[in-house]
Amino acid sequence: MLKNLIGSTALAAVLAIGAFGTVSAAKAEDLTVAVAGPMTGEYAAFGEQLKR
Amino acid sequence: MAVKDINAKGGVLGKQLKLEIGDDQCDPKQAVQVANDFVKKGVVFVAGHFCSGSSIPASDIYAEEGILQITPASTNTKFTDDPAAKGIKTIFRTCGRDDLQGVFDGTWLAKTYAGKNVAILDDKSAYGQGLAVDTQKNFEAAGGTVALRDTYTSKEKDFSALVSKLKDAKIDAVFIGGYHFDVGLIMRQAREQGLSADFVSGDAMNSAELWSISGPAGEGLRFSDASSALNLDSAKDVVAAFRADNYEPEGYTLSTYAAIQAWAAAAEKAGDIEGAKVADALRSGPIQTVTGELSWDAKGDLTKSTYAWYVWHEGKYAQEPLN
Repeated sequence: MLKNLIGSTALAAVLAIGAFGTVSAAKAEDLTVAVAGPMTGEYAAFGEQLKR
Repeated sequence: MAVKDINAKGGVLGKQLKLEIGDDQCDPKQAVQVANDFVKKGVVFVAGHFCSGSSIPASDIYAEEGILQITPASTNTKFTDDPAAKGIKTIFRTCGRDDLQGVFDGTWLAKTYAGKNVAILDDKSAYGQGLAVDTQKNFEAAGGTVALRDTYTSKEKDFSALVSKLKDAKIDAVFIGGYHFDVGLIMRQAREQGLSADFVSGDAMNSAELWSISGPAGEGLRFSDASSALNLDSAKDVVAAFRADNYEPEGYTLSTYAAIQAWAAAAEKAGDIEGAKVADALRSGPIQTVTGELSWDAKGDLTKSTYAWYVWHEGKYAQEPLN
């Protein structure tokens, strides 16, 4: 029982750290900007110009 | 490269930029999907899209979400005119507009081919049709008479019927509002069928891929585009960095770089990433970019656009001197 409790607590802690770690890395430290255009298909040559 | 350079200098408002790439294939429905995907990912700024037919439907979503959008390439007038009429202020360009390019193209055509037979064609796309309509308007206003006005379906493989029409009408010059892959093929088939008319088009001819489609039939193709920024002092370091990476920053590369630079500078000026605040900062004064000092009017259009002619010769295109 104690072993199960320790296991569950450890698992919850790992999940929590993982979740908060991911969120803080993506939301608190970065600003997400985007480039959109035709990256594939017949117009892809222009998408490449934008992506560069 | 713009994102990398901004991050190397400390990012924006002390935060590093993370870049998302969206592929719309110039398809309006896919553009809307890309826009919705960006919203889910928390994107705060979009440099894009390329085709006017994609930029316009995607802009509805960005505007609704308050995401600032700057297109480096979409020239259709509706892109900024329609949102401005609704009071939307978060939509901008770092390229020109079809109506201004139409003045440049149309008046030149009227002067150069006075008394000759001029045809105007378009591919029915938002970009191609927009440019052809504005060019025709200005061609006629300058005294020209269109000998043949027609459209074609983009991505067709056989343009022989269209070429026959041009031959029958004894056309001396053809202006085409459309994309390079169609124009290259039309020119190839025109030369094969013995049509010697001059071909003139717009900025979508600024891809090296044109020649791979047209082959030597593309010789002499003339197109209008914004005056090149490649030789500006403001672009010197960035152009050198691209070339050191074995990439020639042709076409819309520098206008995309400028779009990202402008957003970053305006966000710093506003002290905020909220679209409306960044938009106000963009309109509040000139911003230095690789393509020079840029300013925007109330609609989000550049206050100054300078056009030039470029001519294809032996597989490469070069800008003619400005008048």
